[in-house]
Amino acid sequence: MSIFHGFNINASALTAQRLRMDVTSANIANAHTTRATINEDGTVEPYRRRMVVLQSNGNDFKNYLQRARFGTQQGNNGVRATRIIEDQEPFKPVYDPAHPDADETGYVYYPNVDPLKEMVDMVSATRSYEANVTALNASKDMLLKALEIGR
Amino acid sequence: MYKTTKIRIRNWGDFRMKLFGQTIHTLERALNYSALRNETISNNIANVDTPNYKSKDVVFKDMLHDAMKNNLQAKRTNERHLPFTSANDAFQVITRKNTAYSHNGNNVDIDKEMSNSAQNQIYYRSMVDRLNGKFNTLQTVIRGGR
Amino acid sequence: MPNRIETVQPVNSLKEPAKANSKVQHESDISFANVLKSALNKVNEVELEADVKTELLANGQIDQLHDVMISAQKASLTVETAVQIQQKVIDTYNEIMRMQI
Repeated sequence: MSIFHGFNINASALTAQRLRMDVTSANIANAHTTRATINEDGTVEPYRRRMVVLQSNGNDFKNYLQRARFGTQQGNNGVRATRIIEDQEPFKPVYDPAHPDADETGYVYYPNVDPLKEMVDMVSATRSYEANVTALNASKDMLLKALEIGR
Repeated sequence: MYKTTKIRIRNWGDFRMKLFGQTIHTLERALNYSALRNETISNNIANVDTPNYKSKDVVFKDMLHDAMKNNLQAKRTNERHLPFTSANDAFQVITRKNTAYSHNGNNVDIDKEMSNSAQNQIYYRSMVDRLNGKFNTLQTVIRGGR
Repeated sequence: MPNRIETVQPVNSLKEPAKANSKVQHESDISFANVLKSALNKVNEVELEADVKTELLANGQIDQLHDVMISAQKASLTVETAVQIQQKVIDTYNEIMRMQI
């Protein structure tokens, strides 16, 4: 754990938020993709909305042991995107028998992407990104000030 | 005829006076506290979107009402097992459990964290300035005004 | 006015100088040279500690930057104190040697 530990915490968050942003962009881009996965039996499935699962670092056994032994405050380690999972909400059926991907009943299934929700996620990711940049600048400012001891 | 004078020193302990007194020690501790607080605030801001994350803060140990929290000793079946002792600092990281949660179990108040971060920065800078002041004074005294 | 015969003081006071002399003998073992030596060792220790911390910083193993800066500043001040004291001691010695008896 070096003097730049604070930087690493915020940098991890910047990475995680950027990933969230990318996933949101992918969702918006694929909002109307009816043919995303082709199964073995020939049927097609539309695009399923993806979500990022965030988890704070420092909750594994190694950190707990270190905390218990030395009493050091090892609980601060930033955030990590552990998984990208697919949203299990049902697809949106639209009646369009002329569509090439319509099934027997004439319904086309569109991805379960709600553009409004994606916009909200995008704004949230942007705001978190900016907050982390500010926190990073705060750490940098403190380190620079510490260098002035004795000047 | 030279006359030798013997200088007899009564208490040798006087010669071990401290060069860096209590204030400088307090300032050092304040800097440690402030650095840890900055790290904790950074962690809170980093985890603003993490589900079930509870925000943390750093407090001085004498402000904690729950004294049992600090003195929890692990039961050891063999004396050679490692004890669960906490560090000897005067402050520790606590988890804020009593604030409202959002829908995903996260209770980080981003505005409060930003405000705390700004406060902490100013605190750190002021501690460094005071420390510089003390060191400069000491230096002036040592140099005898030259 | 009749002269008052004062009681004779016991001779305990005569024993004091003898004790004091033995104390001087004991204290001369803790001579000025030894004090100076231990003080210089202390200065060396402080300087070494600052060096070790600087090396750890260069290797990226330090946790807090202000810790290193404060140690460096303390070492610098301690060394400067020692140098000034040495200067003063030498001046005092010269002053005493210049005294005409």
